[in-house]
Amino acid sequence: MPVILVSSDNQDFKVDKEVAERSILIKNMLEDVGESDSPIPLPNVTAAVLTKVIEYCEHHRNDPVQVPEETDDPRKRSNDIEEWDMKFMQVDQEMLFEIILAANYLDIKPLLDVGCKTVANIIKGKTPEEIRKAFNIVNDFTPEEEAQIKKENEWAEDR
Amino acid sequence: MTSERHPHSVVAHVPTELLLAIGQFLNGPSLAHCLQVCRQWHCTLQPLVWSTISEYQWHSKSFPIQLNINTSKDLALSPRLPLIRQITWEDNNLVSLKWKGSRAVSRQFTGARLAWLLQRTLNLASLSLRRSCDGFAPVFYRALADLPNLRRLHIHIPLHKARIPIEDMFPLFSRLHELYLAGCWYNHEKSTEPLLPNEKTTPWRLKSLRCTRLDLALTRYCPDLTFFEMYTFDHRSGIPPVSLRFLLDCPKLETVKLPNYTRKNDLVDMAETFRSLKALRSLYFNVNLREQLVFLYAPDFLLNKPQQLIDTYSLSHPSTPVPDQELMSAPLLEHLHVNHITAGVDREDSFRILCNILKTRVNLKSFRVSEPINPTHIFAQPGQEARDSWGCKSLVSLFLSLPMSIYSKTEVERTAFWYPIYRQIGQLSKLQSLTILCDSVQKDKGSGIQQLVGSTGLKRLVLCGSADSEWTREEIMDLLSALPKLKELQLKPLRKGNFLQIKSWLCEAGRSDIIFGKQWGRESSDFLA
Repeated sequence: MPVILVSSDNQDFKVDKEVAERSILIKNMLEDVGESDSPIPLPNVTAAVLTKVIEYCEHHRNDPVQVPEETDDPRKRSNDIEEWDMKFMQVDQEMLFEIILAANYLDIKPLLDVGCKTVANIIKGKTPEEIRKAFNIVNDFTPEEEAQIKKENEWAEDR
Repeated sequence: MTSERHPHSVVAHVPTELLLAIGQFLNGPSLAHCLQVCRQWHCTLQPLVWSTISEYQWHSKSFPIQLNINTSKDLALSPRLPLIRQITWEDNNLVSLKWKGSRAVSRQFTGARLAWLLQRTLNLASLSLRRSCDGFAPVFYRALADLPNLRRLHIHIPLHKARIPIEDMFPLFSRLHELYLAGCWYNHEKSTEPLLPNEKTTPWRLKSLRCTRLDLALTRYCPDLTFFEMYTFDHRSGIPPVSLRFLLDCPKLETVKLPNYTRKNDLVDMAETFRSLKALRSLYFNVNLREQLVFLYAPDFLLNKPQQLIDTYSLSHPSTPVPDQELMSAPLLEHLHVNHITAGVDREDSFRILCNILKTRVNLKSFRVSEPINPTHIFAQPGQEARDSWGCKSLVSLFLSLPMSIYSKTEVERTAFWYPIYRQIGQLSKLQSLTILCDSVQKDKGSGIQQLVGSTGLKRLVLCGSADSEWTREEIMDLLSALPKLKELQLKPLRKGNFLQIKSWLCEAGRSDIIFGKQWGRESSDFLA
């Protein structure tokens, strides 16, 4: 049975239940509501972003459910992104962050991870100034503070 | 203020938790750069920088905790120490090099310094230490036992002389989930009995235990154990025999790894133990005795017959009992890895048992035998129906080694040899990872390699030999069209120049996404993780 999702700008999206349930938020909602064809409002997600999110869920509809890993070991975390996901994430930066926020709100862990990995890959190998430029962030440190922080954390640059 | 920003800058508005989520995927150097970006990033990511400290960072000239642990400068850092979640200390060589001191000096120094640190890292969840020279000072173990949040502890001290006061650490075991002990944990001069906790201790919560045979008795107090690995490298005499029966107290065991297990007297215990472990899914061992395979195949036989009969028992006998599904040990077994079959064990017999396992174990997901197997024993030969011969239809990962003898055979014989192999593997529709180690892998049309088309889900293919092989464009193209989901391909060793040729053919076929030619050391079970 298809599920109807309504974006913040009042567009309806008809998707398979299986696809919609990639989102833990929606899955829980459907479980609470039971058998019902009333549309599900998603006030935090615009139509443009929801289109992308549904595209992702459609492609990954048959993936096995991720088991949450209890790993504190950063060496076990890999930054590898599947090819399809990589292409999927080739969007402008605003959309990228919108997708991450939506994935967080809708509770789609694999999409959240892919989004975060994409951002992490942008950050990697950049100097602080380059990172600021990449994300349009204003440097709110005084030069003294900045020098101090740099000195304090030099050790972390050794691996 | 907002006019200074680019209208599309959304990062500054990302909630702290998302910034943290992104930070999870950053390494030390990138994190250090992020700290300098702006105040919000600094505050948010600072804990992540401190969450993992490696030995290398510790010895960095700029690491804020200095030599003299009592200096005010170091104490000023104390508020940050509770942020540390993990310490990894793979080896101690750097200390010795750096200080050029005697062994005793460096030991004392390190033990005290580590103890000082452990007393302040109240949130430490994971500690991994490997010492190549000697043990730590007692003050270190006491500090260790006091850590309230430690869940994972790996201590590796190979030297026999090191005496580790394991009783001091018992309080810790009621909090730990994962414990890896390698070294000598008992004082054998005083006592030959393994030390056990007294009855009053809180139950241990260990889920994963890797230890030596000496420590096996510890499992009796670990009802939640799901992973157990035992090393038996300690062959000194005078050690009391410890039976695998101890594992009967761990009904939740899912994985058992027994490399080097050689105790023949224990076989009945072993059969009984494994029959009781109903949750067992993964088994990894070397075959030192043929009976180790028999217990998997027909444990009831082993249990009901006296030892002499077991010794003469042969599965090649026509009256070989077919095991009853109900009586099978570890009925849910999914992963079977046999690393090595010791010389002296009847190979032909072992292969037949392995084949029977493939035929009867319907739950099997991964099967790995590193010892060369004669394929005529496990692959259905021409005339036999391949479809019915293997019961393990849901096999996901297969790792096989084939013997060298086939190398010398004629072209025709080699082809006849490979055809049944590809036919049988092609029946495994769920297969994702296939590794074949062989002197020379046949892959021309006549070998029947195109039958792999049945394993449509194959993601990883490793064909590894010892003689240089050369693939033609046609062979590669056929392979690619047969395996649409292939992600990783390893063909080794290749004749000079062939590697680049294959790489260009992959591009030509629009399959440049395939990882090609990476080293083949990775476990074939990767796809099951």
